[in-house]
Amino acid sequence: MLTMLVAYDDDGNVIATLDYLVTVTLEGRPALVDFETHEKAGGEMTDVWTVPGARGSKVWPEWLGIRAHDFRVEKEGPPGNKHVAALVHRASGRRRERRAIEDTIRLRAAAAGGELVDVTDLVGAPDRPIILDESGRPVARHFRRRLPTL
Amino acid sequence: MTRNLGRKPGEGQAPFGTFGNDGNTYVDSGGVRVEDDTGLIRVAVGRISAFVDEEDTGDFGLVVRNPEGLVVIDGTSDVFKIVATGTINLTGPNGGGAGGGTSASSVDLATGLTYRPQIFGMLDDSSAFPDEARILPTIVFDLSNGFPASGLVVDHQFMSCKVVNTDETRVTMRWQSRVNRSAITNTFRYFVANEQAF
Repeated sequence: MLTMLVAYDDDGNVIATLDYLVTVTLEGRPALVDFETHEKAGGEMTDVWTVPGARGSKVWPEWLGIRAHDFRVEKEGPPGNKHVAALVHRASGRRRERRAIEDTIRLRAAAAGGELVDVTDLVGAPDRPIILDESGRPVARHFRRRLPTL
Repeated sequence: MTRNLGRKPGEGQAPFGTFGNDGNTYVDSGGVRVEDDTGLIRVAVGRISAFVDEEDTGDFGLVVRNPEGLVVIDGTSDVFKIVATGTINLTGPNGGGAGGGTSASSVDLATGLTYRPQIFGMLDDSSAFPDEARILPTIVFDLSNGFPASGLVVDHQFMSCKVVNTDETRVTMRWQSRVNRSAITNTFRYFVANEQAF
């Protein structure tokens, strides 16, 4: 699945994000880089990008726009194979739990019986991040007004 | 299987023939064309020279015309495709001394591009302008009629990019200031674009 990358400093604070990356394959074909598969295979994110001043870089399943910088990462897993388990808002302490997000995606996918499922409303997208306020609380999107069109 | 691009793929394959209630979509070995109710070809995909120029030179591509027949999309103009986007933090410099100061932060992206791409950037959030996108470069003048001098450029923030390691793109954000901005951290959004020919 398409995911975002977050880079964090020594304190875990998010200092940079990469929403997506198109690279040119060895065959000369442009293609989206699969960050999640690379991480699960034990690949280093420095193969994808390097961020001076960053302690590390990991996958996160949502797109939060610039509000991602309001969070710090909380990691779990064995040494050398850690992943980001939660994003914790630096001011309010509000948490975004990865397991809950991925469980919801799995449930929706299972209910669809193998059909393609759109989860943009759950995780956002590079051009449609989840909108959060300054305390990390989701802000409801305004519904589009039905206007006369030509 | 999940997908988060908000789209669903089409299914099946269109056989050759004419489609649409008004019989305005045509599929043959040359490609697909869609005509409006005046007979004007509005969209042609495939061997467009045969469809559009009525002289088959074997060129494949895409042409879209507006209702007046003006071509709005075709293969005569290159486009910029965004190959990467993300955000980056930058703390301001302590520019209070002689000559001011500069701070910088950067990311190196494995774009695979071997030439300098185009870049677009914006100041995406700051304490002074929260939740506001400001196109780069940003320039702040001293309008206080005081220090350092009225009308002087106090802050200059700009983004640049270049090729490093032959196939990586380095995006650098710089902040020049004549005053002490070291207590301020701003977030910037970068878009790396690749010029693409049809």
